[in-house]
Order: sequence, then C-alpha cells, then structure tokens
Amino acid sequence: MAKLRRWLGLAPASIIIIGLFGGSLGYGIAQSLGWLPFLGQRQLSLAAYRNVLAGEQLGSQWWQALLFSLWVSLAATLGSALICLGLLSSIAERQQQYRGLSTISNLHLAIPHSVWAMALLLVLSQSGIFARLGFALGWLDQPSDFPVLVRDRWGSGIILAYITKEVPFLLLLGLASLHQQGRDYLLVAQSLGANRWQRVRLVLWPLLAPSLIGGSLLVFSFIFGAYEVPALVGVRYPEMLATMALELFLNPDLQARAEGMAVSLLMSLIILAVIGLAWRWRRAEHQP
Amino acid sequence: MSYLQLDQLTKSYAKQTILQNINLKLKQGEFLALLGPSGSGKSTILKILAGIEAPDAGEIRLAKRLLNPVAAHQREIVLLFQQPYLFPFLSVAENIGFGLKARKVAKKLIDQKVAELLDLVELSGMQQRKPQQLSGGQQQRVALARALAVQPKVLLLDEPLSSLDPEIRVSLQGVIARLHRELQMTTIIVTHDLSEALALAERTALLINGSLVADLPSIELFERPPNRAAAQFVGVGAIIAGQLQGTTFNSQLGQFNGNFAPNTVSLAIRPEHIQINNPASQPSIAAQILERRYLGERWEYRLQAAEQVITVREAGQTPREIGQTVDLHFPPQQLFALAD
Repeated sequence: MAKLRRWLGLAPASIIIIGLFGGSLGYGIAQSLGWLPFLGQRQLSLAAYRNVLAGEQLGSQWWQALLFSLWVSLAATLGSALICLGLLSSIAERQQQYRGLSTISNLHLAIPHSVWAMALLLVLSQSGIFARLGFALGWLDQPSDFPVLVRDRWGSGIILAYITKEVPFLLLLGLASLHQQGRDYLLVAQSLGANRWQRVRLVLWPLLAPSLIGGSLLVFSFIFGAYEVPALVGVRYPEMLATMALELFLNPDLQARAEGMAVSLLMSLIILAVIGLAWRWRRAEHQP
Repeated sequence: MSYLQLDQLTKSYAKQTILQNINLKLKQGEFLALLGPSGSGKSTILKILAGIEAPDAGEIRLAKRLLNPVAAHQREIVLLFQQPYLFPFLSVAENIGFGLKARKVAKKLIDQKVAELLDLVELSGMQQRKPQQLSGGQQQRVALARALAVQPKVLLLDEPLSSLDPEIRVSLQGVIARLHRELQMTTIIVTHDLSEALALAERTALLINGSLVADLPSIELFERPPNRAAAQFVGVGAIIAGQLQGTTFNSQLGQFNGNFAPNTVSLAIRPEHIQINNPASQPSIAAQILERRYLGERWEYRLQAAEQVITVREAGQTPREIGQTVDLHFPPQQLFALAD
C-alpha cells in the first residue's frame, strides 16, 4: 500500500516525463523505422539504418562524420580535462585563489555556447579582429595570412570553442572536490616528504579523478551530440553527426527524415555505450 | 646542546602580530608541550617549523642546519594535524606507507615497516581497511603511524587528540607517551589543555598572545608558575598583591614571611594548598563562600576575602555551605613569588 502511494505521489512528474520525453523518443524511433504517416508510410523497416550505415553515399558520409565527431569530442574533452588538471594543480595549494577561479568559471558558464562560438568567429577568423589587427600592425601582409583557426577541416575552431567553454565547467567540479579538505591532504603529503609532482600524482589526481572523469564523460557526451558550435565554426565537410542529422531532418525530401532520426538514435546509442563502459570501469575500480 | 632551535621567530597576518620574538631550544629526544589559549600562535609555530608557513623574521635550526630556506618536504619534520586527514582513496596500509613510497623505498620494506607500525599503534589486521571504516581514534592512530613511518627528526602534533572522546583521548595519550619512550623522537605537541601537557611532556612552553610567557618543566609550571599570565592560565587559588619589607610580605590578606626574591610585588598559591578552618594554622583570614562545584575528587569553592575572590580546592565528600564564613590559611612554604 505504501509502495503504491509512493508511486502515486510520483505520478504527476512521471506522467510529464514519460509523456514528453518517452513520447518524443517513441515517435523518433518510429520515424527512424520508416513510420512517416504524413507521407502515407506506416510500414516499419530498418531501411533508414541500412542506408545510414551501409548506403552508397550516406554510408560513407556517416562513417566520416562519426570519425570526425569522435575526433572533435575526444580532443576537446581531453584538452579541457588536461587544462583543468593543470590549472587545479597550480592553485591547489593556494586556497585563497579558489574563490576567484570559481567566480570567473561561473561567469563564463553563463555565456551560451552559440554566443561564445560567434565571438570566437569574430576574433579568430581570417577576416576577424586578430587578423585585421595583425594586418594593421604590419605583422601580416594580408588578413588572409592569419592561420585558419575556425571553419577548418580539422575542426580546430570547434575544438577551441569547446575547450574554452568546458574548462570552466570542469574547474567548478574539480574545485568542489578540492574545497573541503583538498589543501589539507596536500599539506599532509608535503609534510610526509612528497615533492610537488608526487603531490599531484599521488594525492591531487586521486582526489580529482572521480569528478574530473565523470565531468569529462558529460563533456564528451555533450560535444558528441551538440549541433550549434559545429554549425557556426565548423565546415560542411567533414561535418559532425549532429549537423548531418539535422541536415537530413530538414531536407526538403521528407523521406530523409527517417535517416535523420536514425543518425540521431545511433548517436544516442554511442553515448549510452560510452557511459555504460565508464560505469563498468568505475564499478571495477571500486571492487574490493 | 640544543637540537632544534627557534631564534627570534616573528609572524604577522594582515598587520596582526601572531608571534613575537619566540625563542625555544629543544634537546634531541625531548618532548615539549606548547600550551596556550586558542589564537595564541601555537599552531603557527608548528606550521613554521614544518615549512608550511614562512616566518617574517627569525631563524630555525635543526642540528645546527638553518631550516628557513629548506622546502617543507625536505625538512624531515612531520606535522600531525588536529584531524587525521587519512587519504580516503588509500587503504590503512597504503596511508601508513605513503611517506616511504614518496621516498621511493622498496615495496617489500614498506610492507615490513607498515606491519611493524600497525603493531606499534595496536591496529594489526586492519591493513586493508579504508579510512571510512575506522573510528576517530583508530584514524588518529593510523595518522600517527603514518607520521612515524618516515622516522622524522622532529614530530609535531597539532592538537591531535582534541576532537576525540575523553576516553579515547586518554588512551591515545598513553600511546603517544609510550611511543615517545620507545622511539625517543624529538616531539612538540600543541595543546590548550593543561592536563594533556602535564600528562605527556616533560617541559611546557606557555604562549599567550603570541609571546612566550613561560618555558619550564611541566610540573614546575603547574605548581609554581613564574608570572601573573602563567599563573592565571594554569589557575592559582589567589594572586596576592603587596609589598616586600625585608622578609615580610605585607598584603590585604595579611603578612607572610618567607625567603622571597627582592622586588617581589605579588605572591601566589595553588588552590589545593589553601587550608580552610585549620585551627593549628595561624594567622588566618575570614572569607565567605560564594560558590561551590564538585570536581570528582575535590570540592572547589570561590570565596570572598577582604576585596579579593579566592579559589580553594578541598578533598572530602561533605560540601561546605554557600554563605558560610570560614577561616583561610596560606601555608608560607606553599606561597611563591610572581615576577610581575
């Protein structure tokens, strides 16, 4: 009876969550299986998945977008985590700097990704502020001599945009871990004879690892599935999976909508697989 | 011959003086208590010794070597904090072996040392436990073993027992005293608890408002504090102001004869040495009991005599009545002169 009452208490929230998200997910899965009633198609098949994974044109586009998405997501996540670890290592023993860093990170988090990407475009593109400044100062013969940092085929602009946006996020997670007793543990290690590198390796890293790894997984999943930054500072080829999915979904040929949905769902499966692997690794780590 | 020496140590934070010209000398293997109220600068001395803080002025020498420019991790001075701060991601054995690992000692030797130390702190069989699985007292024992593992030249204990229950605290005091007897490691313990200083250290330095007001064998500090500040901290029965004329000290509470130092302006006596209603002792002074409290083995009374409040501790089960007038007697041999 108590159990039923508990479930009934959760019902309003559950109905909204299941109704909205579950409904959307179900509709998405149905569309990816070719259920497109607005085109009179009600028969379910795996044709869209076959097309995406092994189709002549779409197949190669998918695999290239997958590799590019993995490259961008991994590079941006690792870059953010390493910069975050470096910053935290440098200030971990100076607790008075925690607050300043935390304030800056919070302020930076308030800037939307799209606005930040636009700002980078304005500053770092070959017609941007830095290029013009370099030209005006005589450092460059032409503004176009400025190195290609955005809208390049290696995704440098996207990676740069994400690193500069995700470092503050990871810093906040790391600072929260350090805030309680982080400095005290480092002082103990120092008193016991650990040098600076040993303090980072033997104390700081184990203290930060859970939050930094967990945060990095979130960052990876977010970047892997995000659309706006690649759309703003990326190129059309190679493109990221989210851009590919949206382009297919917005294609005037409404048949492509099933393939767009299939790409989206495959992306979700990859993210779930990454989270599942990380979860298993964490469990194995905590086995006695 | 001093082993550890602090010369004219001074430290301020934001214009507030924390330590003022501290001079201390310790012999090798000595156990010193740094006693004082909260905020007196005791822990700052330990932090400076450990290399966590730098002094504004003054020198520290260990076995004649100037320590000021030496980094904390190279000083061979280990500081044990008020909290055990066991690394939560390491087992008990790994915590104890941490300092040895940092010194790149072979794993086999670390294991051997860890087993010895666990035995020493009476925690054998707990190697694989995580700190979260230990009680507060056990955690502090592990922290002590971790500090001892690196065989520091000086062991600093910053109120390591203050957060523990009284029973565990007394038991750990015993462990610390035994370890010091066995290992003869030069040790400084910071405490605000006089009984802890008396129980552990052969010598006690009393710090008040950043200044060293006494540095004496612990028992002497307790029984005959040298000045007013020390007397007030250790708690005397009465501080008697007056004037010395020859060998007689004249005060509001009467005349006292003794071999007092010239220029003595005040005398003091411990509360347990003041006698109540002892007809054999003359002269005496009348006093009225204002308050009383039971301390377990003695009763403590606060009495008004002349214009002064006096504290007396008396053995016995039956308490005296509040408001009662009694005669107080100050045995001359128990009176001692204060420097100020």
